[in-house]
Amino acid sequence: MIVSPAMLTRLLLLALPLLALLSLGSGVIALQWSELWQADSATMMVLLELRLPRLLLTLLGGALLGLTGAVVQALFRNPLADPSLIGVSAGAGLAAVALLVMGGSLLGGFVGLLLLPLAAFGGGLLTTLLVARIARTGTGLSVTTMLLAGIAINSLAAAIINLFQYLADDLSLRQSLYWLLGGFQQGGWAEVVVMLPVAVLVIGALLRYGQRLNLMLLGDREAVALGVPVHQLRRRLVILAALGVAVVVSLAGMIGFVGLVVPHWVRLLCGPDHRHLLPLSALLGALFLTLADLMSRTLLSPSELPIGIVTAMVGGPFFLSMILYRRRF
Amino acid sequence: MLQLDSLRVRHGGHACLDDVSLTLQEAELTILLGPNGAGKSTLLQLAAGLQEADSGTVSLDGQPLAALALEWRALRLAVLLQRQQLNFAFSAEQVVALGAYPLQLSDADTLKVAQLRLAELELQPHADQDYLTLSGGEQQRVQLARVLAQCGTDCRWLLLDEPLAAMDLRHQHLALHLLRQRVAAGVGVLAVLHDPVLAAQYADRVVLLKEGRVLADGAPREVLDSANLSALYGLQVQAHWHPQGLQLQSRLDQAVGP
Repeated sequence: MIVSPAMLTRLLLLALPLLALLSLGSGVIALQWSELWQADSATMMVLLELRLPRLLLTLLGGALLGLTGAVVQALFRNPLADPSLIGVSAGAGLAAVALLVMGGSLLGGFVGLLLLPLAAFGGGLLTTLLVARIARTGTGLSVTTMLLAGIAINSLAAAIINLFQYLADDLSLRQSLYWLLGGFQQGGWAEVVVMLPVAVLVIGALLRYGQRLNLMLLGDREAVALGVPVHQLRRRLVILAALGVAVVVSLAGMIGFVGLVVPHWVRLLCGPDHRHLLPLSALLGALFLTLADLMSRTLLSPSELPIGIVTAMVGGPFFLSMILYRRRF
Repeated sequence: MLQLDSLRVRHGGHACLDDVSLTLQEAELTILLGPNGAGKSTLLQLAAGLQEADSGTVSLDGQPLAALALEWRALRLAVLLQRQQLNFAFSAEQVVALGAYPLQLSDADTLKVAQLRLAELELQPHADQDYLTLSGGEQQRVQLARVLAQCGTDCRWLLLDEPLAAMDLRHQHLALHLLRQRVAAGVGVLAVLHDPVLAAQYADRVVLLKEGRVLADGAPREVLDSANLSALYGLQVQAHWHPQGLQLQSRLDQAVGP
């Protein structure tokens, strides 16, 4: 343990508001702080209508990705697991791309605006249920089968996505590519209204399972012998994690690496006790994704870099250096 | 009383357990001996309610084990299985503390229990060490300490599958000494072992299991003789009982085996 969980919590709670202010203050439009409180000021409009909802989405989305990453790694008893292994991102991506390529005409107007995230959300959950169904044994979900089924379903979905893109015309190809790369550029209050209740439900529920996840790491039978109903718990955790990831993916596309590296960083700093790991992964996830979003908006300003590229560009080298210098998970 | 009644388990057409009945008593150390693949682990997992038999029943004080709530079971019955799969970097002390989970103690009391159990198994120097960096025998002592931490005031049963695996001779004796202490306090212990000499020295009762059937069952002096041990392991065994205990000589017999 490099720092105590309490210390890291304090550091993160201090850093988050600072980063939030920085994020609110940065962007393509230079803010005139002096006219903030004037009637109909453009500054107030930019802050309230563009930057604040976007900030909330990155905070909630990052918390969801970091937390579900920690939960999925514990479920698979494998520190290299990633939320995408339960099939949720692949299914969401497949549904979204299929709709963009085949049903482009449906996407006009207000209904169309809702249709895409709804399809992605449904596709993500359905795929997770499929993976869980394949992994079901007489007594519960088999971890190994779920891992293998997740990998198989992921490559299958990727192949079908490629097929759709190969057959697509230029416009829908560009749209689907854009969607897959992910980002919060569409983020407004409507998206916040959708994400907030899901985030509250999923985060609130998952945080209660810290100690039971610790016990599940000992092994299925060991955990049952300690009084934990492992199979029932695993089903519930898979559903909660899938819900959390699906809402992020459906609103912001595929954002890789957050769920993988954030729990790693926390374990490296504070050890693997999930009673601390879960809340800290949520906090650090929120911080990481907000930072990545800030970078995606400012690095190539005035144009935007897709956030999935930023998280992978930052997360990848960090992850590699961790493997090279610590060799411990 | 832990009662195993006519247990049968088949696995891929092959009988793991073939009509095994055992009645285990509290305050008794029962040691289960047998060759690899004899069904010892299957029997132990059935006794712990962690596996279902194809037929037969397991009951604890007259009630079917499967019908009892998991939390209630975890308070009365602590289990150590083979092949631990922990691969996250918990400290030894954290692993042992997890064992106390069913007792629902405060954090401070949990820590106290963990430290006591670590001390019993001479693990204090390793309390803060990453479990994954411990040697095999040390990891096994940590796991045994975890199971002893689970065995609190309400604990009636300890079911242990090869609790001495990878331990050096001193710690094998230390572990068995700790089990005798629990037996003296009224806990019933069922342990799978591979050493008839240690079984002779520490057990109240020895059960020999071969090819899913009970070959012999009784006090060590009655059960552990040359004929039984030779038949059990498919080996030429000479067993000599001295006032101090059992002495064994064994060698491969060309006539035995394929």
